[in-house]
Amino acid sequence: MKALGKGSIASFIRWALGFAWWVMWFFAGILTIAAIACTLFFFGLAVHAYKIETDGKSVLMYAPYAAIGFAFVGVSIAGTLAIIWRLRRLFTNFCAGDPFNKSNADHLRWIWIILLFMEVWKYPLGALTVALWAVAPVPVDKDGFNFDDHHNGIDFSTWFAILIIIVLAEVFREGARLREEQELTI
Amino acid sequence: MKALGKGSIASFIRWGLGAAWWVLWIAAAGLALAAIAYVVLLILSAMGIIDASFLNRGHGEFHFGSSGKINIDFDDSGDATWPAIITGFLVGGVAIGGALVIVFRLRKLFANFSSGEPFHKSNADHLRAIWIALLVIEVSRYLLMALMGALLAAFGQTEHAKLNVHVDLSTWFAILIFIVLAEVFREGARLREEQELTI
Repeated sequence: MKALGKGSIASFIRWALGFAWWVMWFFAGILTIAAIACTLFFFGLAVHAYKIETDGKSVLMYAPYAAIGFAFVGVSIAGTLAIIWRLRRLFTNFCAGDPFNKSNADHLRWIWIILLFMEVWKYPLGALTVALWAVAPVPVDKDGFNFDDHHNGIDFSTWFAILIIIVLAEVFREGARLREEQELTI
Repeated sequence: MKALGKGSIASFIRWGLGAAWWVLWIAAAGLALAAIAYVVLLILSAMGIIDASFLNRGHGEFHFGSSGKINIDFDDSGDATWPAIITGFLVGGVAIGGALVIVFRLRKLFANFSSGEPFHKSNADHLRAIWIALLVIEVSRYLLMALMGALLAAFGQTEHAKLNVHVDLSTWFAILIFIVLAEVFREGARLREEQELTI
């Protein structure tokens, strides 16, 4: 099976990305419904907390924590959608046998920018949660709530991936330049 | 900061890969020492110099990367657990050996990137070697998991061993992406060659 062009491995990956695209939209829909329901619940009924079960523990959920959670998941889903959209464009060019299309370097550049934003976005949200926890910790019914279990710190693999995509973007830019020169020569 | 060439991001990644290279060699040495120590313990146990119950452990869990895991209760004597331990060493050996091959190839790739040669002829071969290594590691995991299950069924006297298997799609997806990237780099090398011939 060939790697590039029609009916290639690149086509299969593009198909899988198309599937992932709709799955992510499904999650985006669920998140929107959940956010609306929560907003109605908190503000419509004028309550500020409700009980949820998480990891076998019963905790009271406060509106600010819910807002932080929705901000985090919302940005994650939106960022993933943007990355998949760019990857689909990239693989469309691969399927057309055009790996050094001028736009490919831009797609990769956007992917690392989005990844960077998604990663950096986590830090203020994490800091906000820690600050909120210090002021208003969530009461726990059962075994206690270990904050460390829910805080993973800096994700080096993401930073490494960002650096690799920056390099790949430049490689594709160089490839596009070579192809352009070749076309001019012909 | 520039992405390719000397003092670039590619150079920084190459440095990171160099650090990973030595960490992996330390892990390989640690695994080899542990394997030798285990064999010595088994021999001493068989000779009756030490009590076999010395090797007893209450519970163990073997992870085969993200492909699956086997939970085992070691309620029997130490020498009866050898199928699990020996296969565990093999799994570790394949993982570390495969990672060493991949890091070695990545270092060569990024050495070319650092010297401002992204479409060096060898780069496509490095990427091909990486996807083959990933494929071998993944298939080996399944085979070793089956081997452990078979050995435990034949020789193990464990209280119970629970086998969880699932296919890690992200690894297979990564393999496919590396295949495509290898072809892209081959095409880039061809373009560069043509350009050099034109000049």
